[in-house]
Amino acid sequence: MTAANLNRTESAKALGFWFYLMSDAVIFALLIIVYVTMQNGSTVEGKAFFELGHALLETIILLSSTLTCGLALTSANQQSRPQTQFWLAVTLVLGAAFVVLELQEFMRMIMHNAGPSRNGFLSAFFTLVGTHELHVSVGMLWLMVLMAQITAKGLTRPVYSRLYRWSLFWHFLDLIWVAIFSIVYLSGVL
Amino acid sequence: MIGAQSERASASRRRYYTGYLCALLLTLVAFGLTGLATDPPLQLHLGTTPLALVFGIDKPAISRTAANAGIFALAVVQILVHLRYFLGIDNNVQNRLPMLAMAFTTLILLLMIAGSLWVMGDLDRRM
Repeated sequence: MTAANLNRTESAKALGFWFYLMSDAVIFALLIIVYVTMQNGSTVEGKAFFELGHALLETIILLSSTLTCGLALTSANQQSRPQTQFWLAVTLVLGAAFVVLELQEFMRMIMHNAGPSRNGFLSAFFTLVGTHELHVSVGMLWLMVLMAQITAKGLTRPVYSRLYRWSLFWHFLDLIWVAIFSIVYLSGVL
Repeated sequence: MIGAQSERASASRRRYYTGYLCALLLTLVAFGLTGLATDPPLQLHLGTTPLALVFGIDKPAISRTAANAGIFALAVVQILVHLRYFLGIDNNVQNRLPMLAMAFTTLILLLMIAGSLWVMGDLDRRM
């Protein structure tokens, strides 16, 4: 969290937000543990539905969005409003693409009678991946509010401080996705 | 002043690009490893042609256990890359509290993971 331009209050806020992220990590870890436990007793196997190519595309999209998020924060640090808005817009589009791809997968599984109500394993799958997707959606909503604030108020201190905390949230979601794609998709298709 | 600021900006851009390239490489290796261990191997497609046909591979080249170990190791490394390059957690004094919080979270996670495996494994044996 070595942010170049934070004063004392802003650093304290960032630390508080970091504590929230840590508790969120605990939630995701619990959902992953439930998923792994339910996997063993299921008659339906994930590999019947998971597609490596689809998961790889989602992963690359989310990873790219975390890069553009970082570039946006750097531009904001330089007080360059058009550049900041540009990279934030790219991040928003990539985030939307990720959510659409994930919803496509959910729809395909539900169509093939593998919805969350089928058995415990599928409930755990939809809960884990759905919770992550919900986080990404909330992150996009937050991002849209920030973009509106940058338009209305400019890159003021409070707006920059919020942008920094949002960037922590966004990077954190990609970190969680690393655990999800490794455990759910990669181990799942073996 | 302006020179120092733009220098800092290009350093931070370099940090993000480095993280991106490392993470991308680790991701591709992990997916490639998995593709070589699935049966049939390489279920990825180039258009309509399965990659397995492109490379002429018809059976898994890596065992399931080896692939799982590889996936786990690559995931741990990639999470560290994300922490270092994207979330900016490094050896800096400023990071002492975040790191302490992270260490405590890791402890809680280990307790929960080990505890769950213990309890569920025990239940499994009694069934």
